[in-house]
Amino acid sequence: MDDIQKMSIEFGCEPANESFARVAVAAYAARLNPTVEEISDIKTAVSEAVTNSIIHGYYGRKDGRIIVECTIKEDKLTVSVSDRGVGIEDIDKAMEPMYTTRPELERSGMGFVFMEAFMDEVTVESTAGEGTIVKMSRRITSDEQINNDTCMAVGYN
Amino acid sequence: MEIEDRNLIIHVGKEIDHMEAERIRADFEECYMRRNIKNVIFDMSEVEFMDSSGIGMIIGKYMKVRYVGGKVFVTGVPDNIDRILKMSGIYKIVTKRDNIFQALRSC
Ligand SMILES: Nc1ncnc2c1ncn2[C@@H]1O[C@H](COP(=O)(O)OP(=O)(O)OP(=O)(O)O)[C@@H](O)[C@H]1O
Ligand SMILES: [Mg+2]
Repeated sequence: MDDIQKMSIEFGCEPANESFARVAVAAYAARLNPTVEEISDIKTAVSEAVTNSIIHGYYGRKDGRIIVECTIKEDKLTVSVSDRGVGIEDIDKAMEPMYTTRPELERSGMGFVFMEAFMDEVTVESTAGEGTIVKMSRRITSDEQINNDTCMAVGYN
Repeated sequence: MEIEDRNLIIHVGKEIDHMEAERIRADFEECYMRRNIKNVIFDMSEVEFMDSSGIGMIIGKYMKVRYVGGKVFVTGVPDNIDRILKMSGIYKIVTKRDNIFQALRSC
């Protein structure tokens, strides 16, 4: 392995794993000394991608697996969330604000809007019937004095 | 959840994600079926985390009460949560108040 910083976790499509995934990524990102706001942004973005895999990718299925991989290069955190679910037919359309295929589940079509707002870069690769990979990255400004607030935001309390 | 007249006050938990949104939705449905609810007040003062599941859930409650001329309020909104609410455009349909008392006065 050339990338000794790399972290990956795999889990089933149970909603309880959404909070597990975002806390795990936040804890991993903590080594870059992010600010409380950066941690909050990363958690929201990860939560969006993982929730999408569960709700859309594996809709009505219990056997789906989700993989979250993270790397850090210098001050940049990269997170990828992948599933082998139904995939997305039209990615551009899916990323439009307020576009949702599940209004009956009270979904509002804001997930990709938040991912794009909170991360520097978001790319989506998806093939209908095969699955989806969402890759996101964020430069961390590095808050020198990592404080109790950050530890709490990470979920280290 | 508390009910004052036709106003339903919902104390939202620390993290409004998929699971918490479903829990609130189920509680709301139960109250809504039994009581003649008009306005809904979300007390957000304890919220530390929110994602789009929270936005969809709040919009869903607005869709229900607007037919009876009801309003939806959010109160005690922390700054980081306010940022997400603003970004979603939800303030076009939901009113922000400092606290529950002020929201009740606007009902
Ligand atoms: N992993 C995925 N697999 C299949 N379809 C997906 C996936 N992620 C997103 N989509 C599609 O893209 C659409 C838009 O996603 P987005 O997260 O922006 O909104 P939403 O999930 O529908 O609503 P919200 O996130 O506001 O609850 C979804 O409605 C769904 O059709
Ligand atoms: Mg979504």
